[in-house]
Amino acid sequence: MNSMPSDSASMSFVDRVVVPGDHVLDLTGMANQTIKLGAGLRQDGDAISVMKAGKLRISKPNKYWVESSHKRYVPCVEDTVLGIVVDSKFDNFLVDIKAPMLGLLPVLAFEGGTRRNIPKFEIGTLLYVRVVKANNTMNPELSCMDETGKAAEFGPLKDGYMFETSTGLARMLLSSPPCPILESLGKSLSYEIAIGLNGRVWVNAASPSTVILVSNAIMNSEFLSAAQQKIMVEKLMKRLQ
Amino acid sequence: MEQRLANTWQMTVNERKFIEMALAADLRVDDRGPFDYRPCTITFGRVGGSSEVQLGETRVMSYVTSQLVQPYRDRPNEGTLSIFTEFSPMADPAFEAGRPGEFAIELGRIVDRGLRESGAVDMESLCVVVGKLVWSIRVDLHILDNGGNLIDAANIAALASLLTFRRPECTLGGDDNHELIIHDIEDREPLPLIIHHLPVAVTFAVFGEGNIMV
Repeated sequence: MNSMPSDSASMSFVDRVVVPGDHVLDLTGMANQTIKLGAGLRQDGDAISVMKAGKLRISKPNKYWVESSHKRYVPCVEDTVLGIVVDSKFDNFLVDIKAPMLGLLPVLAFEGGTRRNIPKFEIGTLLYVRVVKANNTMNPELSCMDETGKAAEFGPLKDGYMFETSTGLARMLLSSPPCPILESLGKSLSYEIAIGLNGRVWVNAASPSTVILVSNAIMNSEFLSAAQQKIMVEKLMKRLQ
Repeated sequence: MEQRLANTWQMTVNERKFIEMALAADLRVDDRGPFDYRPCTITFGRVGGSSEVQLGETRVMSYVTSQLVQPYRDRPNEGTLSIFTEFSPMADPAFEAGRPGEFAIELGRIVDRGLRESGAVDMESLCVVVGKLVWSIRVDLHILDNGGNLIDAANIAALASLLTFRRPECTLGGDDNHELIIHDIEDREPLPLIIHHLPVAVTFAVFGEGNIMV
């Protein structure tokens, strides 16, 4: 048996669904420890209480947060998202990232970008970008470079098909080790995929029927367990043959 | 002033090209054939006259009520039928509460014309006293979730609720046979509307240069 956790009260809530008002941690027994609180938690005197419904997660040694899945996206710094160009201004592109406000992508935020080689994006271009600044009063700021200034994989995505899902499914697809649905699809089909934490997913493959199969399989896999996802992919493969 | 808020749905260039390419191969993005419908479920409320239709992700609720009013001067022996639509903001971020927008009015008029001009609902049976009192039927359509094809779903909802609606029976009685008595539903069985036929709306979309249709 593993060693007894020091805060047995909170261990009973971790990885379980919590709702606003639950007290998940009692601070009276933890005098000299620092606890880091993430999204959805608040200190209420001597207890930590929940503000957002979702699953309570812990990252050892002392980080707690509440994870939930929504159809709208709240921008966070360092998130990689898929945006759609809505308009282009003199020094910014206006990009829709499923957030309450449009994101601003500076025209110079590209590798080797100068005033002379500003990219021309038509309205409706799909971009893979990184969120640089985000707070809830200003429009979020985006960038097509990583921290060192290289392009990495950021920039416009060509061809393929894009669909929207919830943020929870996007996080599951991006988890490591790789999500079972992507692995089992990859065993029999070859496709490329870009996943945005704002709930947008882009899929590309050689034939349209593969793209449609992959995108429908992903959309249907949100609430299935790992074993159920593998079974669903097997059934789809049998139907193809 | 430039738009800084994001509340309308945008389509990407990738999606547009892909949908047209897939349609050329007779594939639709959600794995349907070109002429397939999404699964349709109709749920009826306990009280007659209310129904909820679910067509794939689209949900529309319909509610029928009736009232005794004075008829129009040029049609003294016919009842009236009116359709009201409400596009709830919970259906789509682009819908705004309050006054109906252009599409809301258009949807209401399409459903209204389908029912009225085909003569589906019998109007003359709604007359109680010629020139003085007729039944006015009001259909309220609430859009709960916009997953596409609102016209077909709203039409089915209106038909379903009109078919299950029951109006109280009323007779002329009293001392001088001129007093109108509206019977309670406990006393006399309420009557259904007389519906001659069911006009069903089917929406088609045309892509490309008019040579691809779903």
